[in-house]
Amino acid sequence: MPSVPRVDRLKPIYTAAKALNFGWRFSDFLKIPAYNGISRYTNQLHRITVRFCKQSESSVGMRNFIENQLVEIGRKNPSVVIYAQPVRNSNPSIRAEYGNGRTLQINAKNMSESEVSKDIHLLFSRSGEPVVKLESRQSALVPSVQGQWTPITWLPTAMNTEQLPAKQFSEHKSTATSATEYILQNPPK
Amino acid sequence: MLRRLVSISPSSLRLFSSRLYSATSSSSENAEIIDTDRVKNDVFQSISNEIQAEKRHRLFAVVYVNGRQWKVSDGDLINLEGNLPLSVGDEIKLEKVLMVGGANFSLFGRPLLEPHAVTVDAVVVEKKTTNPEAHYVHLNHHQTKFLNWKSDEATVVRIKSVTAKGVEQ
Repeated sequence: MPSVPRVDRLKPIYTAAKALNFGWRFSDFLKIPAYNGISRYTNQLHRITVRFCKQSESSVGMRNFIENQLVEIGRKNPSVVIYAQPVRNSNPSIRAEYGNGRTLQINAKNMSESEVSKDIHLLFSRSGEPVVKLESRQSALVPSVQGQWTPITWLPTAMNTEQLPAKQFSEHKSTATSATEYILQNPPK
Repeated sequence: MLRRLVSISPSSLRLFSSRLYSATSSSSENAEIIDTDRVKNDVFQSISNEIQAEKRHRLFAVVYVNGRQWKVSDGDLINLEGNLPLSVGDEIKLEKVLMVGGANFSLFGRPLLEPHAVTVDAVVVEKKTTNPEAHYVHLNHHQTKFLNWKSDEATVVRIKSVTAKGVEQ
């Protein structure tokens, strides 16, 4: 491997460009691909591949999972293609492919059946977007229906033509009655 | 733009004891009642016109979910903390509605609006884990360091629609 990577090859450029779009990010806004759920919900998981070894000890949980639960999960999710792939002397893994083109892989080495099941269920409920720190807990198509409030939103229009500072706009407003106001309203007899 | 603010009785959108407070009075303390049926009917009529579904005016609502108030509108995504007892694709109705509003009006519940007056439909679109964050504790001069990666579960909900029924007179 040369210390300075060559840039005249298509592959490193392509890989770098891919990393710009799909690489690890610091933070992002809350989003869901393909306008999912706006009219109806569609499952974003398209394919799931479980790789396991028929002999090795590290795949015991995976083998038990395939035997006991996988068929039932497949029956419940007819839109998802499930492959069970026996590969000799391999570490067991779960690979999920999503509608937005992303692939998520989990190494299931030495996992118990329940751990494998938990991870599979997580992959089924994911949308395929990467997990990043969120900038905000909510994302909205329209930020404000009534318009954003500004300090001058509810100011009286009489202020527009007045030379400021004006006495009538500089009075302190309070719901509490001041002593002066009270005496003016209830003059002493 | 004329904005009207109406205080609505807690149990329903119908006003039983109709009291309208004029916004022009000198202070909120000595607000005078200018209750006229004409004004009330005008306000109700204009709100009912705004709410009509065929006009497709965008409404927003303030709903209470997950120990928090959210201002939501059609198509919003909200990230609820924790693994809620819902599965992906479930359609839910958010019934704790504190407020509903449009471009020209706002209706407030005291504290809640009646559940069938405003409908906020939502779908669970994703259940995921949150981004792990490091909880790092370093005790000086104790040769003690703790590094814990904290991650929680989250449920993402899409608001399908916010609709309201006309104000009864």
